Order: sequence, then C-alpha cells, then structure tokens
Amino acid sequence: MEIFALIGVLAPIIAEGIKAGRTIATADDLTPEELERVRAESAATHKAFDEYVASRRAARVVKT
Amino acid sequence: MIHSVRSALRSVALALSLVLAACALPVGLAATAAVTGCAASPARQAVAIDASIAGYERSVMRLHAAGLIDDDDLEQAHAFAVAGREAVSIVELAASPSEQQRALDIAESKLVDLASIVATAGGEPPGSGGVFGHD
Repeated sequence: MEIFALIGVLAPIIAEGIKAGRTIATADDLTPEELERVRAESAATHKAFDEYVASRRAARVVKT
Repeated sequence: MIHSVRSALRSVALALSLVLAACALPVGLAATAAVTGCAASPARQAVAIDASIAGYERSVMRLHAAGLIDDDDLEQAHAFAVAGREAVSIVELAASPSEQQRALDIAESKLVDLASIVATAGGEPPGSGGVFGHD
C-alpha cells in the first residue's frame, strides 16, 4: 500500500523531468507556435508555484 | 510476523524512493547538458530551461503536498526557481552574446540547484504523516 502511495507521488515527478528534458532536446525543432505554447505553459506554472508558496506562507503566519 | 513484513515493505519502499528520486536529477542534468550541447539559439535555450524550471516547480509542489519536503525546502526551491526565471528573462533582454551566455549559465545552475532539491527530497527518511504513514 505504502509503495503504491510512494510510486503515485514520484511517478509524475519523473514524468515531469522527462517531459522537460524532451522539450530541451527538441528546442531547435519547435515551431514558433509550439515555442509560444511551451512559454505560456511555463508562465502558468510559475504563477501557480508563486501562489502555492504564498498560500503556504500565509498558512504559517496564521498558525503562529 | 505482520510487523516484520510491514518493516520489510517500508525498507523496500525507501530503497525504491531513493532510486526513483535519484532518477530525477540525472534527467535534469541530461536536459541541461542537452542545452549546452545543442546549437539552439540562446532564446530557445532560455525557453527550454524555463520549461524545465516549470517542470521542477510542479514536482516541488507535489512533494510538498505529499509531506516529502518541508517548508524550508519549499522556500529554498522557490528562491532557486525565481533566480532561474530572472536569468531566463535576462537572456531575452541581453545586449551581447556574452551577456546572454552568462545569463544562460546562471539559469542553468539554478535549474540544477532546483533539481537537487527534488532529487534529495524523495531520498530522505520519511517523517510522520508522510506517504509512508509511520506508526
């Protein structure tokens, strides 16, 4: 059970690494539209990450 | 008997986590090597590094939500990600190739720093309340 839980957490992480590596390996072959899509996806993730960190900070402040 | 089986399963799970987590860093490093090795334009390299940073940001959020990294690691990862993103934006604004290369080098090093947090997080002994659900 615990192994499955662990795999459930780590598998998407490995997949992210592979996806990022593939994007880099094929950066030269990307069309301008694909490049723009990659850029937009990255920007959305950056925003989500900033918001996640901000929400955790807010939660810590509330706790103290 | 049941307790020893559970202990053995935990050991296997921890070993598995070490192997899987160790895979994350080589992927990041290979990606970085691909960037420096290929002839893509600096702007495209910057987009690719930015995409890789985003991938690790998603990983950090998942690891933190699962209790595998603590708030300090989250903050550190955020600092690396922001520094990497700033370096990426400098690549697009840089006036000279040498400035672009310097910014790319910084972005790449921050990507490696971020990857190392992800790689080491999965290998740490799980604390209570983690996915192992310690007794």
